[in-house]
Amino acid sequence: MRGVLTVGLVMLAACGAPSTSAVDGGNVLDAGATADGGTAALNIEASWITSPLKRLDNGLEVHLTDATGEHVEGANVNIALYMPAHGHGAPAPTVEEHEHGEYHSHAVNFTMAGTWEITVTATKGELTASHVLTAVIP
Amino acid sequence: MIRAGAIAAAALVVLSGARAEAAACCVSASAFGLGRLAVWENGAVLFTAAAAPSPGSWNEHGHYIANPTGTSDVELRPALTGLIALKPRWLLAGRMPWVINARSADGRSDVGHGLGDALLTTRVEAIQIGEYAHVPGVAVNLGVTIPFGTSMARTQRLLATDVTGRGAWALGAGVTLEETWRGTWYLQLSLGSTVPLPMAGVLPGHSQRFGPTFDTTVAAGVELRTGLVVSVIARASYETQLHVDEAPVPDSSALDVGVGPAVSWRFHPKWTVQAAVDTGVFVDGLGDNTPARFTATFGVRHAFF
Repeated sequence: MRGVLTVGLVMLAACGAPSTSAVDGGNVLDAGATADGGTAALNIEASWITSPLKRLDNGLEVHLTDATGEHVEGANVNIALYMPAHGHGAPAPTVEEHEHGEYHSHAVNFTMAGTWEITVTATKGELTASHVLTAVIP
Repeated sequence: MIRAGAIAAAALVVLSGARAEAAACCVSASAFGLGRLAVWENGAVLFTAAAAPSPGSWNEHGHYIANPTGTSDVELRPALTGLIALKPRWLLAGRMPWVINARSADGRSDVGHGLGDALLTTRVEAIQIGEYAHVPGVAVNLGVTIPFGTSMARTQRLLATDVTGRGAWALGAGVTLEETWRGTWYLQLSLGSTVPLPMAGVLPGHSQRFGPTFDTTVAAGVELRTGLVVSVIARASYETQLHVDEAPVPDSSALDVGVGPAVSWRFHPKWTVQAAVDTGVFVDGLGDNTPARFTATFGVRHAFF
């Protein structure tokens, strides 16, 4: 059974500020959700598939919906990794689209132990939304 | 008296410098000091080979965390160093390392290698050792790090084994004080700072700059018999906060501390072999935001005179 570790729900219009949630080795530190005051148009729900998180081959599931709750298909979803304390990133994981607005990556690889920021960005037409997760990798 | 100090200093600075390059995250660089020549030498070439396994790391809160089972990280660093006397008190030195990384995690292993960051330094001896009674030798070092290596921002490997440099030019300056006693004992203190220049391309649309690093190295030793010098070296390096778009990044400063013995044996007037060990103290608080390393270095030096 797939273990969902963290769910970050974000409702953002284009250029909205990203929301954040955090995971410490698989334990939820803070799962936050933000909205932009009712003008939301693209929603990102991000969930870790892997538990606990490790250095390599972590799975991340992204679910996109619009303001009415309908699945958003055909979007461009990118995942960027960054380690703020060291000032570097890691190669961007590949993302595959599945049905019903689901997007999966099974190759979220962290090049070293430490605290990482994982930024999920989704673009559909002129709409862009992003969501930032924080994870501590042992 | 002069001979003992000269041999020891030449051995120490290069060997401890090799450790310093592996400090902090992902190959930092101390851009000052590459040792010196004895007063009778016109130049020298030194080959060193360092092996530095990492048993863990200190997180950004100074807690030491050992590697999980199945995770390993070993850095090998052969390097070629050249020193040439431009004038009696003025030398030019350069070092070119080759970096090899062997890492394993989660059942996967990888080995990568490549040219590391080069270091070019110059040293001016304001006061030579023994020039004045009861006054230590004083030397000023200036240097520049040339980022030939592959930085983390350009890694293409799963475990970043192709990372061999920091990706930033850096300017360094330092001063070395050295005193000898009774012809056999010496004490050397080196203080320096390295200032990396801003980088682009790490975060799209943003400028990033590593903070200045402040280094201190203390070395003390004795010449046990002709040509054989045994020393102890202690060092500390503090890197200030990283800046993105000139704003400091919280918890991004780093502390790296190490200590270990070194031995230098001049078995021929022109040949010296050197060996050194440098290790961090793997407990909370004696490191911050940096990998832990145990570094063993072996070197062979040939002098020209």
